[in-house]
Amino acid sequence: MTVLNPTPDAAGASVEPPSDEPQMDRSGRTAARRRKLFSYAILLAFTALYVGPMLMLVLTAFKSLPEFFKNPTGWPESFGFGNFVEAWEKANIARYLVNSVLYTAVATAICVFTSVLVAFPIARGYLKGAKYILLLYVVALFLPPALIPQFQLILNLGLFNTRTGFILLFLVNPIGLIILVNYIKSIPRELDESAAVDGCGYYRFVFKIVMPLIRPAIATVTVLHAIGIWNELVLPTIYLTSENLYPVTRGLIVFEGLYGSNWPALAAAVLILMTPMLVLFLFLQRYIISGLTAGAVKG
Amino acid sequence: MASISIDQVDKVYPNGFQAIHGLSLEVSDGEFVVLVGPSGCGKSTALRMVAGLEQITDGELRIGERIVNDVEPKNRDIAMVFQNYALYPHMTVAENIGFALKLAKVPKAEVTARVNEAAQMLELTDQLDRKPSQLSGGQRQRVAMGRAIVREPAAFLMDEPLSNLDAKLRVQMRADISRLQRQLGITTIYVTHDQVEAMTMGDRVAVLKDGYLQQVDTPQHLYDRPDNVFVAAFIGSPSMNLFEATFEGSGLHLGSHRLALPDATLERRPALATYGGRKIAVGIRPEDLEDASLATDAAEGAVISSTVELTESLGSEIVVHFALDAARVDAGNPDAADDLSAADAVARFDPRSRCRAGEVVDIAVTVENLHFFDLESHAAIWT
Ligand SMILES: Nc1ncnc2c1ncn2[C@@H]1O[C@H](COP(=O)(O)OP(=O)(O)OP(=O)(O)O)[C@@H](O)[C@H]1O
Ligand SMILES: [Mg+2]
Repeated sequence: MTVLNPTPDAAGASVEPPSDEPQMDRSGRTAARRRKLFSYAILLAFTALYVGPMLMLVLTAFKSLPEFFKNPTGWPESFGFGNFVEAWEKANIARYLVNSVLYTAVATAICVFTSVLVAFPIARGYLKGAKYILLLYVVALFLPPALIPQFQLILNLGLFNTRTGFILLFLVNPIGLIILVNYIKSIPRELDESAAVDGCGYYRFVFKIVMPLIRPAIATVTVLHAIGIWNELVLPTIYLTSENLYPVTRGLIVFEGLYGSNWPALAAAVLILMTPMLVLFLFLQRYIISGLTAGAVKG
Repeated sequence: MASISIDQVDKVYPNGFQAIHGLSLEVSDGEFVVLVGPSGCGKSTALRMVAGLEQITDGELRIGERIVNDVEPKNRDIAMVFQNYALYPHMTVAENIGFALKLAKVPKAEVTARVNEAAQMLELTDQLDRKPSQLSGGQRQRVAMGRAIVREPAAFLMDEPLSNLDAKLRVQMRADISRLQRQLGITTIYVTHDQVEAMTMGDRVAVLKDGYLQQVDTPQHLYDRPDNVFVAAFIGSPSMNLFEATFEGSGLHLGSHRLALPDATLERRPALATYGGRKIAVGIRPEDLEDASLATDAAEGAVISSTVELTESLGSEIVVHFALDAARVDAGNPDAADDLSAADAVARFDPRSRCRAGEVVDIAVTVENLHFFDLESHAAIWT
């Protein structure tokens, strides 16, 4: 999830006091400078907090196991890709990657698509009790995960240890829905009415007008949801027992040795695991910032 | 093309609020009718019921010969222009204009031809490939118009289409819309809260207040013979001066002033005789007040003298505010933010007038043009 956290620069834009205010007197200017210095110090501390562990992960991935135990925090002796090769083979990444991609892509696509169809009428109040339905989603945010009943349900449906059953676990995302609802509210209602007068049907309106206009929100929800599935470690260990169904995360468990873990190989595997989501994020990034701040659609 | 007939229509919103009370209005084929009234009077509600965007609670609505109470908006053959234009931000101007035609499965070549024709009419040809965000307010407004006219609908419905434009552009677009409507001859209902827009654009103007229709008539007739105090005050700028006065025999006590009424005026309004000795509301249009030194034909006993409080010179005329010691009559316009306690009347003097603030001037009243209303019912007193 590290990738989703706002970069220090983006955070800086909001923390930094407006420095170009004309402040003529000297004391005002030094006060402004001091404030600026202070906020940079805080930002630096946060940056260290985020970058530190990342750096450590990267450095570890280039060390041999004995080297790691001798010098866990220092610089590696050489930058070789031995750990990555080992991780790729031992964790069966090539094989499990197909599963991970399948689960993430299918579940995210279904979740986002259905969420838009649900979010639109809720945002517009086009169905009775829309407010309460939304409230249900908000409540769902605060409930603890219902592991046992969920497990029973999947079991009774005969979907335990199946791809369908596993995908079924990831079809709802309350936060995603709330983001979509709020974003849709920024689309002027007159667009709906104008379309209705012009003879545009409901579904056509949702697909041809609403979807293109809420692209930022869709990108945001897609990334949020995809990363959640991609990085999920607990549910695959519960719901999937056949090796040929494992996602990549499940493969990482091989590095948990009985007598201590193979940290460098694990670090390399984690870096490999991260890469696809990082690429997805970079790809959708230009939409995401505006998706999180829910800008208004200009008429 | 078609007529629109609104018959005894009521609108009660789900929260129980009744926004429209028994509205009846006939709009004939090709006519331009303006719905005007203060904010919240139900203009948009009425228009949206015609469009089918709002359910009709009671009454009957016909477009052409067809009763359309329960017909879907898209099947009413109408086009609507919204205040915020409701353009699709992700589509180009051409796509916006052609969208309805595309939905109607009109062949591509014909869509292009009709879009180009509309663009030409609205001088949008150079903007066809742009997105709405790259247009000026006036251009967006024209795109919204274009979207309506390509469809060649039976009727145009417009809800304050000019209120997002600046004053100068508004005047120009006002003329453009009128010209276009005449050229196309499409039945139009146009909603505005601006009485100048209503007067200049409408073949007929319907004045609405609190969900009740007050009067429907041609602009000139509305101005000359308002049916009640509200219409009298709403139409015209500056507003008609409305004061309480006591009617007595052949004259009028207006505060400490007395105005003699000519016999002809009394004969034209026989009902006035029954108000002898009683209070009525009298209305004086600002142009019926003139600097007495310039009004050579001022009638006997039709001059009041008062202190000028403020003058506003407009070049073509001088707007003069002066004190009048009679009680003001509240016309009931929630949008008029003037202070009733300040007994203040407004006159439009000839620019040659030399009057200054603080001076006492003689003001000639054109008594033949006075308006009289019942103080209780606010209805005009005629017969
Ligand atoms: N959905 C609704 N539910 C309840 N009351 C409503 C609803 N829509 C409008 N109203 C009320 O109905 C009345 C008329 O509203 P309407 O929008 O028709 O006014 P309007 O004349 O168009 O005003 P404006 O000039 O401000 O646009 C108002 O008092 C408004 O508060
Ligand atoms: Mg309105």
